[in-house]
Amino acid sequence: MKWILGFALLSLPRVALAQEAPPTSQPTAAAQPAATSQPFAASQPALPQPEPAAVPAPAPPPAAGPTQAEPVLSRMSSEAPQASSVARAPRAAAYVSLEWRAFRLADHLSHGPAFSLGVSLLRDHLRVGLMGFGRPGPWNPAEFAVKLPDGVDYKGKTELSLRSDGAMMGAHVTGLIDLPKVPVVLELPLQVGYGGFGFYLHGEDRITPDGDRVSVWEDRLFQDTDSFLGVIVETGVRAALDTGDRAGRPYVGLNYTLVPGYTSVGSDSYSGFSASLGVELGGLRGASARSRN
Amino acid sequence: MKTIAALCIGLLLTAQAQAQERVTTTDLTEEEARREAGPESTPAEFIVGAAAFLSPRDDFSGPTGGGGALDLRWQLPRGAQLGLTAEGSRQETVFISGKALPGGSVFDVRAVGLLPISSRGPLQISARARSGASWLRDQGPGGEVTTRGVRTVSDLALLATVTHGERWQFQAGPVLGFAFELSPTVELADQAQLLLAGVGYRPAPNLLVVLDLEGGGSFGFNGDNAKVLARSTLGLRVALGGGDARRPY
Repeated sequence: MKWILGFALLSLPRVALAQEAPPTSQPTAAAQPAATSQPFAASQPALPQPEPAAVPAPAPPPAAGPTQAEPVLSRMSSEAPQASSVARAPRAAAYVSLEWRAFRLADHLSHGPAFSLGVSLLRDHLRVGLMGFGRPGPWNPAEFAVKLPDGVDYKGKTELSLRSDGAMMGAHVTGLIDLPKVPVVLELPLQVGYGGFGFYLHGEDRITPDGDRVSVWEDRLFQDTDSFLGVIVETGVRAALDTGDRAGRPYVGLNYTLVPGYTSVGSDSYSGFSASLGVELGGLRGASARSRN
Repeated sequence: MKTIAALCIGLLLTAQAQAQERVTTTDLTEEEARREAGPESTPAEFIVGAAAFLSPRDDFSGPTGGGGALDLRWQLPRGAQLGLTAEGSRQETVFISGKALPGGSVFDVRAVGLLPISSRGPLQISARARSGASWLRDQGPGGEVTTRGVRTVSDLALLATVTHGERWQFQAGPVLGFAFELSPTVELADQAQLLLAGVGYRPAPNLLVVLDLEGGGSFGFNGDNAKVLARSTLGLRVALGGGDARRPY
């Protein structure tokens, strides 16, 4: 039943796509010359460019084969030959996305940075790469009361107030689905990686009684249960505004982080939801988004 | 697990279906092809940079340290860069062998390489790698140096650089940092995930004023390190050959 449900849910957009009108051959704004300077493609400082005139509709395709103005043959479709096509779109492109997250992990609110980077494939409908997120302890003031075992005390205290931190890094695969009629791309990431979450002494407690390292005391007080290292799995959903521009696309997302087998002081579980706000740059969007009407 | 596998297979099939729907419209016009071809040949020239930076306290109540940096790059045709960076700073606390020591100084020297990966219009994505050594020392109450440390320091970054108009440049990307202490102990000192965001303004064709913010969490010395790294940098970059100073850095 789960298999059937999964296939059914993800086949719905394919059905919607089959009912869309076929795209036209009209050039979009992406085909017009850029009005701003492009220093990465110029050796001299660029002069201000005049605003380009509106691009007229392309002339009907010639009856003969390609002329000298079209030195590269384009791939012919089953329909009438396309005009002015000189090269194939790239099959892959690098992308990077940066975000800030609000976490609801271990039954408390926290925040931290996250990123993903990799290669955009299949006309930017599949991304494969590396991702990571962090929950820096010093930037998150939440504290966790932990009672020490009977007979154990630290600088006269039997209950300590700890802070927490953690991070993960891993591989990710994201499927991207264009929603019909709206300039929004639905992204479905799946991330599997390795990381850790832990709890630590802070403030005056980091000055140990004998001058030994803090981690030595933490291991001694909590019998090595002050942190967890292991596999972390994450999935979620994002909605990105498809601006048709590779320079930047804002997105919001909701993620679920699963930390299987988590055992540590301070919290029974570190699994939970997080919300993302970010921007993605690069990828194959831009030229390949011209089919959207 | 079966549900996840089914979802993944469904995702792939959906993505492939959407990709095939657009197969007749992905051919580029001549203008788009030229833009997709990447940066044209740029003149080889030296680019020098000087900057001052501050590191904030964890609660951002003030600086915990600061210093200066020099950067010398040789830009190759088509945008690759090779160079050296050196920086020195004073810090309220330095971490040597997992101990937080007061009143220290740090001196870094790193080789840097930057390689453009893709470029289209105002956006360029580049990979940057830096690797070198860092020397740390504390400063005791009487001003004497009691502890010294040596590390190897490296970082990898994927930078997205976007120009806007005639004068502005924005740069952002993740930075993965690794530092290993070599002396007095051998131990992982910092493994950091940072986000970098910066803005640059070009008052003259070969000058670029940059303001960068960089920060994120770090793990090292089994949790006895600073746990977070953050820095704000204000600098000036000059293209000595007279070329456009708006470049990834």
